[in-house]
Amino acid sequence: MNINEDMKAFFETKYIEKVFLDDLKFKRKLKIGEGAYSNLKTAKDLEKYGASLATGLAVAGSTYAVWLASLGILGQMGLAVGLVSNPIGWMVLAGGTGAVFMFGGKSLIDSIDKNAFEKTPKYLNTPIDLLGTTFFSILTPLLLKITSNNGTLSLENTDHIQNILLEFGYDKKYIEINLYNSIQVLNDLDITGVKEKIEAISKKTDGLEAHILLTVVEESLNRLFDKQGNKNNFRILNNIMKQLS
Amino acid sequence: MPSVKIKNSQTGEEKIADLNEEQIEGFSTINEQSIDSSILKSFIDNLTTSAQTKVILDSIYNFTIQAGEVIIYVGRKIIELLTYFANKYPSVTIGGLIGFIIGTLISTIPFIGWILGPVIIPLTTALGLVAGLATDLSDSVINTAVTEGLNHVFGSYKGAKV
Repeated sequence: MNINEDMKAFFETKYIEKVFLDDLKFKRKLKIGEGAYSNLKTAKDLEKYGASLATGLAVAGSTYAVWLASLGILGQMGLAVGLVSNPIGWMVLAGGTGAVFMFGGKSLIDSIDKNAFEKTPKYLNTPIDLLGTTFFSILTPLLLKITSNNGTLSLENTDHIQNILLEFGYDKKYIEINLYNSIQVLNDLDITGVKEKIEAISKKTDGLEAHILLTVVEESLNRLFDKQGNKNNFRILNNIMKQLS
Repeated sequence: MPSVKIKNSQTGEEKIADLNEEQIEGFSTINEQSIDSSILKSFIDNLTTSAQTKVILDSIYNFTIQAGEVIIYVGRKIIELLTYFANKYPSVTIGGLIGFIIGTLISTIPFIGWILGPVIIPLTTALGLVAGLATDLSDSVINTAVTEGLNHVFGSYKGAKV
């Protein structure tokens, strides 16, 4: 046992440093023009944008609704009226990195840093990071569901998913950590209300068109489905596509 | 076996230690930085323990031994191990883990116990441990893992005479 190497490996995979390696790729993919996303440019208050997205998603998706319910009535009221000290910390728990904590249930929430609710993660520095995290938390469960087989994911399909996400400019480590976390709770990932969630984030972000996001999601899913080997998942793909249309 | 003059950074006390080659080479294992300092500081800051415990852990972080011309960052390595095991085994109470790590080092490795001595009483008080620092964790698997981790870093010093 080399404890020094174990410690290095443990903390290397535990901490995300940034969401994007190249956020321009993300903007291009989602057709977010420099002049278009006025509220992303002017939203100097990251928390305000975070609160706006959080409330939008809470209304839109069952995923977020389930998570929101777990917060208790005071938490829900606080989030709804923007009174919580830091909606971003809450959002990250709910989506993206936090998906695992939410879907994993209360036991996982109990085991994480209690201050996460109060802190903005270091890797979230700009509104585009926040939008990226949110979009990731919507897209990734879909990618996982159409490639998994009996609750497991092959290494080859994990690579395919990573490659799709890399095209959006996400940082490799961010992808790896979130994929690892999500795979742990693969069976519990929620893929309902996708269209509503996309419409919600689009509504809260000027210049971000819901129909473009939906097309991008559809295109990514179709391309991944063609590459992956499990044709039995066609039914899942079909169900998702019906949701999106 | 070479005799090495060692100095306790906290008390300034100097002693002569008889250390073999393996023990001298082991300094590099102790000094190897495995976890970023900011993570260690943040870990101590965010602990749900008393402020007094945090102050003591912060002071342990700075504990060093000077052996000849070499500074050995013993305290930093102890905090690294504590941070690692607390994160890896979140089910263990932090007070129990601190008590176990410090208690084991003090009771089994005199060389390390020599610099940890001053924190025994304040730490026991801060953690509210009536029976003193622990020498056992309730979960045997975790108990073994932590003991092995401590042994890997400090085990070779069990026989070191100071």
